[in-house]
Amino acid sequence: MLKYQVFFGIVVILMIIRHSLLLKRGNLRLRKYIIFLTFWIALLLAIMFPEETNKIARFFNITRGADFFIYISIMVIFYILFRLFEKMEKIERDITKIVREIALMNKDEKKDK
Amino acid sequence: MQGKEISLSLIDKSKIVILMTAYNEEKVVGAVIDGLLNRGYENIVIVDDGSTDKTYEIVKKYPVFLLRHIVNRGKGASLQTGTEFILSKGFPVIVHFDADGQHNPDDIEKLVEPIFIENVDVVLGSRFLGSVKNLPITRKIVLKMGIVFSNLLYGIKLTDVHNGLRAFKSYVFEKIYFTEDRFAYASELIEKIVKFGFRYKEVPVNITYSEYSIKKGQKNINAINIFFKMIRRRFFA
Repeated sequence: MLKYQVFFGIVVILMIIRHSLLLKRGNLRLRKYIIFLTFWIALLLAIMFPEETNKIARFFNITRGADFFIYISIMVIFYILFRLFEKMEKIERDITKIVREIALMNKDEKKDK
Repeated sequence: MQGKEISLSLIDKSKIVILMTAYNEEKVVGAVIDGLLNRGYENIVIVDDGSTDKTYEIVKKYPVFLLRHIVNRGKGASLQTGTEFILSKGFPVIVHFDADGQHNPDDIEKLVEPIFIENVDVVLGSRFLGSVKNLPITRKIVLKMGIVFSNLLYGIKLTDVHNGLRAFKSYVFEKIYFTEDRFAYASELIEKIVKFGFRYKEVPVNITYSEYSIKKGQKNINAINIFFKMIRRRFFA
């Protein structure tokens, strides 16, 4: 086993343990846990068997498995960014609603001051 | 001249409510309110948009309706808050007026005249039909580009689109709801006026930019953000 395989392999296993603990404590939903677990296991397999990733890459007419993974990673990162942006906008809208509700509840009625 | 006096006498100021939003305007907000009160506008609603200075304390001393956002949510969000309050009070005419001192309260009569006399739902103030003092050239270029773009996008022919001085029949806001919290609300407003087929008119108004109002106003770079929001609203909403 090569050094990078040991290093990245340990990192991935630690991430799987972390996510499993989050699931156990009820801080992560099962659906998301399965998505993360699938991702980490796929990454672990790619690290352990790089030659196999080359085969998948060649199926898509990409020479190296590493390149294939970089393309996939960029797509995943952009998707996550988009989802985060979407979520942030919803949170912003919700904050506005709450702030508005509080403002209308605590309004200072016109007085002859 | 006599015709003008007759038309102005038809304007009932008790039916008009002035809606202002204020964010950190402690230096000028008092003078702006005084200017409105001195001209007989007694119905003033101010939304303090989470000011961190003494704006709220200053406004509290005046005979106005005061609402407060506990945190800053932007001009569009504040106008929506004020509008919801006004609709609950039943004022028939709403005027948007800036709290930073760049608007002239004498323009309000010109602004509401078509609402009382003509069959118009919305009156938009235009600084480019009227006069504008001390407008920086970069801001002018950005504004003009925004006008051309809005006219193309919405198929309209306006001379000013991001001017905060406007008047409305209140029922307009039974259909128009600002979802854009920040300055993009101005484009959203134009979009919805066109969409719902409200009768609108532009009238000349006078805007005086000061060093203070330029510093406090929206930044030119924000135009890019508004541009993308307009595209998204027009084609992807």
